[in-house]
Amino acid sequence: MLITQLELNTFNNNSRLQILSDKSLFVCEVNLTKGFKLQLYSIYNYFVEVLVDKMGNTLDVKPLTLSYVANFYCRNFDLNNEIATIS
Amino acid sequence: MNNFLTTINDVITDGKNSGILHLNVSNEALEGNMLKINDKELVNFSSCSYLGLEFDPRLKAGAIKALEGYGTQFSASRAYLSSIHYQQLETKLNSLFGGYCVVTPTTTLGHISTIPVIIGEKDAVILDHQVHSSIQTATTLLKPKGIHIELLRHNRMDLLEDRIIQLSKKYEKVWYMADGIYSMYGDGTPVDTIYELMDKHPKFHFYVDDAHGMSCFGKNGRGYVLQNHDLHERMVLTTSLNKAFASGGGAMIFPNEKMASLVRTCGGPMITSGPMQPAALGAALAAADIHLSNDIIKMQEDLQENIKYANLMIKKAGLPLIKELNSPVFFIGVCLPKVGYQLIKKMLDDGYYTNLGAFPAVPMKNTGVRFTITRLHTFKQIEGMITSMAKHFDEVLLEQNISRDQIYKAFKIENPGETNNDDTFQPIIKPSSLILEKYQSISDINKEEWNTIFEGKGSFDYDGLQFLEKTFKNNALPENNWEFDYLIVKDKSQRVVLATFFTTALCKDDMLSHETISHKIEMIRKSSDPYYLTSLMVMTGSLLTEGGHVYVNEQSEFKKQAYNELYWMASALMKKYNAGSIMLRDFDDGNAELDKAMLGNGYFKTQMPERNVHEDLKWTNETEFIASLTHKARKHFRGQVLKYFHLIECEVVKNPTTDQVKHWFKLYNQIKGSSFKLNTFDLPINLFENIANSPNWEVLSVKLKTNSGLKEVAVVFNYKSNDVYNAIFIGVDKSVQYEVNVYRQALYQVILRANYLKCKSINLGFTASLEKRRMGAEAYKTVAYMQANDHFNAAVIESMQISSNQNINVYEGENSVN
Repeated sequence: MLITQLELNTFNNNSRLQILSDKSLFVCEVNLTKGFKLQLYSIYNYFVEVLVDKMGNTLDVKPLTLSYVANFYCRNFDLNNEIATIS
Repeated sequence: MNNFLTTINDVITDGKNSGILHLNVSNEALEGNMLKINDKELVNFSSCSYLGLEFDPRLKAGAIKALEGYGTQFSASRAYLSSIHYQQLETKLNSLFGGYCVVTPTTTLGHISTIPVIIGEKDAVILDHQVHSSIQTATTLLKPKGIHIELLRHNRMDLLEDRIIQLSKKYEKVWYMADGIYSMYGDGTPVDTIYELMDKHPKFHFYVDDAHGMSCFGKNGRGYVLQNHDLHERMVLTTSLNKAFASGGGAMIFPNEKMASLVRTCGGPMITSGPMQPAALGAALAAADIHLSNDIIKMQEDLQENIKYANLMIKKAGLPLIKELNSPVFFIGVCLPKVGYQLIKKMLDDGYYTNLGAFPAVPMKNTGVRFTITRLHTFKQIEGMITSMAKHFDEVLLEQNISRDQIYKAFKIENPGETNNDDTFQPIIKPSSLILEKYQSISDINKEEWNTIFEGKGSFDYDGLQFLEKTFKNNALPENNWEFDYLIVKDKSQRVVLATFFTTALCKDDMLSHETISHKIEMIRKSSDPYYLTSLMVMTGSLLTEGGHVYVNEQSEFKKQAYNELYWMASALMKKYNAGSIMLRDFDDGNAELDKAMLGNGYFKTQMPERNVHEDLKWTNETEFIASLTHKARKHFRGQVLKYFHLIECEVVKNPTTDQVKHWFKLYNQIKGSSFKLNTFDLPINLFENIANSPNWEVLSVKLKTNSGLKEVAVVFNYKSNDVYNAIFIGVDKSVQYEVNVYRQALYQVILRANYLKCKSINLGFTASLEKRRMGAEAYKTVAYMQANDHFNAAVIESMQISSNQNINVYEGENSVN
């Protein structure tokens, strides 16, 4: 069943990860300094960003605004290409 | 078995036969929340171990350590010896709850140990109607002491305060007993209000069982009740260590050491029953450590996330959740048991095990699918289960011809249908292949058509019903004003498949109860409230008729559908008249197919008094009549009836005087006032006046020859329908009843009259079966099928049946259903 962005916001990080694992599509990953990574997931009509440390622990899971995705991810990556590669 | 036990047995057996109750798990070892039943892997949605601690290695290690130290048991009464674990556990629990704890082998034994000790003879007890049965059981121990106990409608805090004020005038302490979280609907007791009441009323005390709230809520998992409060100085908190605490036993928490000590020393099972096993105590010690650590916080959060997710999924699926709360117990209303059976079975096939919430835990037509959420469930499992339920929900409703609207109405909750735009969730009712004719007066029905079906069946042929309609309207007392409704179901070829009539009348709720109960209730009615424990009832037939009120064409292929129309009509009338119950009555006992169908539609079977019918009227003289009797009955007839026959005269009275009608009324009241076998309201005098002026009724006046002339000592009111004579009711002069066996003389006169009129049978009515059998009548076991809006009044009456030496009361307030 569809989980809206608003509904996702009511859950904690662990629950959000559960929802992502059941309902989302991995889009791409951004390597940050000191081994940190940002992972982008697509879930229905919105995106969710996951911050992971170098040990693979999830530190934060948050839904994103479309403008943020456009400004941050689309500037650095060819999103269409990433999605096409995955699928 | 009494009616109540029979009904429980019927419901449970039906569930068992449907493959959803009394199931056995076949796993030798369990992994998380997966079960195997009949070789099928199922996700368990019935566990009360809400935190999943039973699989925690610390609890297992604690159990093993205690087991290795003490063996499988330490068999001594705690009055003599307690293992080291008890003291350790009680100390930890004292710290956890902030009170004085006594651990008991089960919560039920805890109640039995505590309640009789802490409730004094000068105290009063108010039980919430839905309080757990273990508390209700324990309070029965108070009844022989004459302690005042009354029931309160569920969670009605407005009524509670009024009762506290009233009872405080007379009693030293007023105890209110409730659950923290109720085990069926998962709703909570209004804790804040109760604390306010305790602060406001110094005599008010609170006894609460927080079994389902334990561990899931509050600091250190101390439960739902204490999540925002400390233990009040005038409350006793009881809880289970056998649910989310995952070990075993119960815990009674007292506000002071004195009370705890009293229960420890005087509580019956504390002296005479065995202790908890070491393994359970060892696990409990480990569980207590977890509760006292920060680990519990994360566990509670995980559980709440699962609960939140389940609530969200239910909302999205548009399922009728009865109460949305943050408790781990969920209840999806399905209205009728047959819907519940089907839905649960289909979910079992999909791999999900849930519970049926059915009678007696909830009223018959408030059946539902009850499930629990634990910390061990994944979102995927939760969503899978709810998707499965939603997928089959409308399918089952369609199969069973039930609408969502009916469900919401049954639970008296608003139908949020408009929030769900998905057509698959809208009610779909099968088009009927039957023609329904509904009327509100017999005058609107074709006389010949009605009499073809009902003439000769009883006193409810066309003229008989016209008489009743005329008599039971525009009367002063509410019980003497009845509503009449008629249903004729035909197939497309205009053949009658089912026909009946309903009356809706104010009835005594103890109508079919044991006489001793009715006697007690009548005392209350006489002293304070004449309408105590009364409610509007929709019934097939009427209070003044007997026999086959429901005609069904057994050969019709539409019989089952026609019965569905009967259920629909009865439910519709219940709503229309705001009645409290429905009684479909006067069916022959022993029809297993009908029993099952009725149960599935939310009607429980109840025994009525036997119907007595005299069917041997072929004799032409007294000798032949005597010969028609059994050997024993002949002896009785000669010795008890014939012996005084010469002292009796009988006449059919035409055009009686007003005084004579008044005398009949007195004779009727003499016999009515002394019998509670079928406890009904007294008939009104205008009935007697109308009978006197009706050509269809016959009044047999039985007179005794005395020195001063003839004295009218009995009167029998009869209705003749075709070749069937119906003795409807009787009046007897009790002052001479035993001198000449007046009642028996009257019975014999009825038989003689029917024989004279060449009738083929006599309906002799309910009750007094022995007397009627001795006169050659056959007694037929008769049943009624009942459905009630709620079980409150029935619970009050049932509780009166527990002991004859008790003091049960009820308080419903002015806004009750009645």
